[in-house]
Amino acid sequence: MTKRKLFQHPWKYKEGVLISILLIIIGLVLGLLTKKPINSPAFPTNLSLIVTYTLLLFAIYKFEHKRQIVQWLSGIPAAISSTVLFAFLAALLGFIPQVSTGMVMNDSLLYNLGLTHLTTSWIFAFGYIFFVTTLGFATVKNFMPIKKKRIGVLLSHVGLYVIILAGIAGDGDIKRTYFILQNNGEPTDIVKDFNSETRYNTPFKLELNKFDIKEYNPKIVLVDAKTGNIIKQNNSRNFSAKNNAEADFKEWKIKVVDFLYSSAPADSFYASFNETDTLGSLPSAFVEIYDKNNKLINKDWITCGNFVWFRKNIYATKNYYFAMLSPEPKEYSSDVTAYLPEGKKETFTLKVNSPKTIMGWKLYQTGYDDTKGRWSNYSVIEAGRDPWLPVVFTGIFLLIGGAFYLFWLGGKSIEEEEEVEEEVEEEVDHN
Amino acid sequence: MNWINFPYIAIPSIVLLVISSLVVILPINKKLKTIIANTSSVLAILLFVYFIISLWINLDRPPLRTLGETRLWYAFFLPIIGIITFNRWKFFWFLGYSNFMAIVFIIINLTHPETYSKTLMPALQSYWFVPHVVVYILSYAVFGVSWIVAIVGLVNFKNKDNKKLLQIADNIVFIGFAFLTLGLLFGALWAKEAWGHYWTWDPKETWALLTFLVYLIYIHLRSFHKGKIKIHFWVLSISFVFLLAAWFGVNYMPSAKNSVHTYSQQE
Repeated sequence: MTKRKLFQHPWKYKEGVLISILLIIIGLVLGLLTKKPINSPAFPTNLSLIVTYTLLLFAIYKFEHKRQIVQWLSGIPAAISSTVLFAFLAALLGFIPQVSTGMVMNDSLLYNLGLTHLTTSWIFAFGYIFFVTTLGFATVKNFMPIKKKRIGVLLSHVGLYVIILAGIAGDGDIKRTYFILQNNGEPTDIVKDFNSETRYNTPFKLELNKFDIKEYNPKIVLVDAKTGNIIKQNNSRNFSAKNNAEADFKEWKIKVVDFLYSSAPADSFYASFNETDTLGSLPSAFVEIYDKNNKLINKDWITCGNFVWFRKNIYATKNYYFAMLSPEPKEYSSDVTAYLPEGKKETFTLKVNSPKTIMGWKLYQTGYDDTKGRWSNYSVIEAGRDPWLPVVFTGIFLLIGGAFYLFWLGGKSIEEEEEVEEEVEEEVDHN
Repeated sequence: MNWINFPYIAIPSIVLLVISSLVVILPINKKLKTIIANTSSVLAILLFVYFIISLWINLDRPPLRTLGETRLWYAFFLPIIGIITFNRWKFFWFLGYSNFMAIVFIIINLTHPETYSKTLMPALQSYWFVPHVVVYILSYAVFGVSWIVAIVGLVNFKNKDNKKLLQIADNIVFIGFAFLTLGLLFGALWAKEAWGHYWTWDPKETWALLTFLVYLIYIHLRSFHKGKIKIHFWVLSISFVFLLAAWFGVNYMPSAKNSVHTYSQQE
């Protein structure tokens, strides 16, 4: 048997590697020439592209599947080559910190090559097209004809194909915007885009009735005064302030004698704190510090400080002090009313992880003024629209089906595939 | 039932799960082993069903809000998947591992009563949290075993049983890959509920995808080139490195500074 020359049919892996390298080079050069991120097409361009592309794959496979290039693109060597290229791009994404596309960047080489905004770069686009093409052909191949035994393989391929095509299409149509709802503010329909800060109007108005937040007790940590580094409790657990709690940090023991969740300094020297619930009240604690001989070395009030009051720490030695951290949110929610057209209205509560859909807009509790914590004057509500979501979810559920099949059949799920591939190889050899 | 009664459920469950896991070493026939393993696992699961339902009624809300409640669900789901997988594939080690992880969560709960009331941070308070974590715990373990098989294959490469060994690896990898896929997809569905989008190229997502892709490459290699066993062992053993990077490497990478998954860096 004579040795096959490069790009002499049937193609295998060498061609796959060369095509991948070529795609990377062209992508980088195009990046350098155009110097700006590419945008995913929006409706209706994306829809027609996807439909045309899929029909084209079907037609090509149906009428030209004997052609060597189609054989190669629908076979395993091309599938593996394109997956390796896609994985390589994902690895770049995994290593290089990415910037948001809305950000103005300086003229660095990494930026011009597209590596700091990889998902909108030319190399990514090429790698993506290569991957989608081999995946598409493999999918089509599983449809012609549909074999009962390979239904799981079909599900996985269709699922993945649908997810990544609809995902990219959705990218062109997705809107991710946010409301800033003021306490006691008027109903508003003004939202801003997360990336571009462009203003839009929603078809309904939203009003904040009440923003509610519950916080954890604040943590107390030891701080190295020279470096500013935080040192955790000796058994590396977090130490939360509460009455009579004590913990060891390095050679000291700290004991919380009195903890006030909501308080304010009683005098301008912060010499004592009173329980209160007025604007800007914050947690404070009276603590005692003991050395390793259990001798009391210091005692005082500490507090985490906020937009009204200063922070107050307590020193163990010149080089180390104990500090109270700002409390973290335990639960926060906004009670809001949506005013719909024709005078209808709907009142509901938004929480993290429990969004609500109004007129096709999904509303999320996203944030608040974290410099003010529970005294925040406003609540940030994300309003998102993604018309492609049902398509992506269909793909996800198909792929979940494929995963169950894989689980159930294990190694047997590829035995069938081997036969098929062998047939293909024989066919190729005949040609 | 309340948390006060938890030991009365927990201790019998631990005993049952230990029986289910260790029955394999008893000098009895395989059929009897299977029956004992199944019976004791199912009883342990039923105890948990009883406890979770009565706690649910007692709290008047689904017990999904605190750290302790989350571990309850791990201890419930792990033996279920363990016993299903065992009946399908007869892997005693998988049953043992799932039961062992469940026991670990039960014991942590027994020794840390303060976590019964410790509310989870808002982003974690979701129905998707438990299934997402459970399938990942299982997939990582299964891939860990496949890695051991790959290393054994590489070290004793001259051994004639290599082909058989690789077939064992295939079964394991496919099961692991099914769990990994579910983990990735559950994560996407959850992200849509919590962060507004199912995929944001967060570093953890990117590395999870990368892990998915390298095992995908292995699966496709296996289905085409039956002969090249050494390459397969190599690919399988290297894939695990990606998994480890996705698991705990991510937090140390330059790209991780904006990750939503680095819960440990809240301070």
